Amino acid sequence: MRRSTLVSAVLIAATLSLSACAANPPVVVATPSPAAQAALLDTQAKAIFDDTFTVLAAADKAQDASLLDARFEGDAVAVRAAEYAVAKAVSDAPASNLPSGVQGVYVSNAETWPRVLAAVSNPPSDNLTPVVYLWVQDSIQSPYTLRAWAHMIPGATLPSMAGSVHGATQLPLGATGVDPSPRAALENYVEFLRQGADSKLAADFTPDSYAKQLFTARTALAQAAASAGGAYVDTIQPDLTNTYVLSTSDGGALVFAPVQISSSFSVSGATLKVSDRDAPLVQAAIVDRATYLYRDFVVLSVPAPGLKQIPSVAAAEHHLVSVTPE
Amino acid sequence: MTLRTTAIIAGVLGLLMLIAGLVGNGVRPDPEVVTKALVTTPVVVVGPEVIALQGLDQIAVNAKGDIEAHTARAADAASWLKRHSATYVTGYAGWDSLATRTESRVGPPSPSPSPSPSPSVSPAASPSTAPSPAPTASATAQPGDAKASADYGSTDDWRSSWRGVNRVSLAAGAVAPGEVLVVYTADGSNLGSVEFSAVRQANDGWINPLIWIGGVLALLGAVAALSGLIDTRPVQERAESWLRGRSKIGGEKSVRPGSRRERRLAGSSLPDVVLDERETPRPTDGPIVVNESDVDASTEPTTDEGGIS
Repeated sequence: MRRSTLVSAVLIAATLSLSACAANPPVVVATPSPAAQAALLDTQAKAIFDDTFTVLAAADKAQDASLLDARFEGDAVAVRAAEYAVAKAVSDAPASNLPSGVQGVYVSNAETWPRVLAAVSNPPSDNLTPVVYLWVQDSIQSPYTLRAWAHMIPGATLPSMAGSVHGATQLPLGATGVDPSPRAALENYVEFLRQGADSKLAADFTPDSYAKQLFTARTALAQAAASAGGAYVDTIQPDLTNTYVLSTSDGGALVFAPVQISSSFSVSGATLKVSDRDAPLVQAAIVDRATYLYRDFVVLSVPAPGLKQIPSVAAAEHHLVSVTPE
Repeated sequence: MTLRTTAIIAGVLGLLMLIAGLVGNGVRPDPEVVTKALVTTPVVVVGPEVIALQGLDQIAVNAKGDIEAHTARAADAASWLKRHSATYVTGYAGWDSLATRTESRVGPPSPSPSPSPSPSVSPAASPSTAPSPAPTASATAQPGDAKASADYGSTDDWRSSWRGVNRVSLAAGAVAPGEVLVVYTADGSNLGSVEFSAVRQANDGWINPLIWIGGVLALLGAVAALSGLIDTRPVQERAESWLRGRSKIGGEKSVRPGSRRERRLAGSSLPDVVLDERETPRPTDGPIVVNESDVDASTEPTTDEGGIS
């Protein structure tokens, strides 16, 4: 009896010891760090581009801005709706050509919202400069939507940005790493637009065709209004809430800024006649005063400290969205 | 200690080795193991540290209906999961079960974004907000409620995606390091189970050598033990007889005439000396010729005597 008990104990011990040779389940040791820190991979960005331009193609075909909702938001919808309205009424004024092919993608590496995605298109044609697009995602639940676009200023260059592996850092408007800060640069530029070509602030920015055209039109319209006993006033406001800043690879900043411009034209003792091209955008009967509402988009490049350069406008576009009698 | 005793001792040790090897072989774990955990939420989350577990091969999730699996950055997944009840797989509890943690989100906010605290006051402020597909979602929000979380929002932040019906399975290596795996049912109903398939690393390389070596030693010992029990003298006698017979193979009849063997068997091999009856030649001035037959074998010159004479 004792011998059998001993044998059994030996066998059980052997079995248990042999069973212990099976490895234990692996345990969590460390969290691997992601290879790509940008918010979007190239494939994700391309999917957003493709979806955006698919939506745009459908809306363009129907000339119906309500079809843009899935991928367009804010000023982009207003601008495109105005273009559709003009295109329907004026045969030789089609909606602007927005190329779907992109040659550069700027991705944020932010882990909070809102996040931005910017891209530079291929040139639409030989006589048109590439288009800069801006998408914004407000939350994890919402999609990236196209908020604005603008053609590049002839001769302007966009600074190099971090690639899709690391992504570009989204800077606050008051970022102090660049001089002037993005906010100061934008506000100074807007003030320069308000004051005109003779402003002292003109020396703080590289000359650009956007400001030049704005000043030229202002001069002509002011003279026309004055000759009719009226006045022409531009009211320019930056949309700081919807302005976003991305750091460039050399330490500078790229400011994507919507700008609202109201151009009020009035005459005295006469009736204004709106051009056929602008007539579809008139909201009510125009008598002696008309206010043209623009939703412009300005991309301002603030150089990195130490480069001894001044801020410049990389892209900007003047988008008329409505005409009101106020 | 005799050779037989040594062999018997080796056999006993071999027998123990054989038994140990066979026992080890009997309890040897299957290298491929599938570990399962039940899931009672619409979403399952597998973190990057779990996906990186050594040996983890496949991750599968079972449910009824369409299933979607996505990967995302950890920050993005964490933000997305704030709105959804989810089961987090945190690792292995053992080879038979997975360690999980469930987080319920009761009363998630409406799927439609509401950036303004009072959107109804200024409807024009948010002209393009997404439609609210489930207006009663907040009223019926419960973990696992099919309709409460059916709208998962934008898919822009998912980096890789897989889809399946009733089951979705993907290789752990297909998930980029550092990314979180999020799996959910398309209709918001609860998932069924999550499975991890892994290749188990077992320390079993010693089993087969132990069986073979132990078997050989045990066989050797058995032979030695049996040899002590069996009377081998008749066999030995037969063997000796055979050896004797082997030495007499052929006998004298097979000796070829004139062969060396015949001469050896015949005994002395002294040459016959034939003496002529003529006189012994005198010393002359000419050369002395000695016939071979004239030389006595016992006086044959050798080099040991200092030279040729």
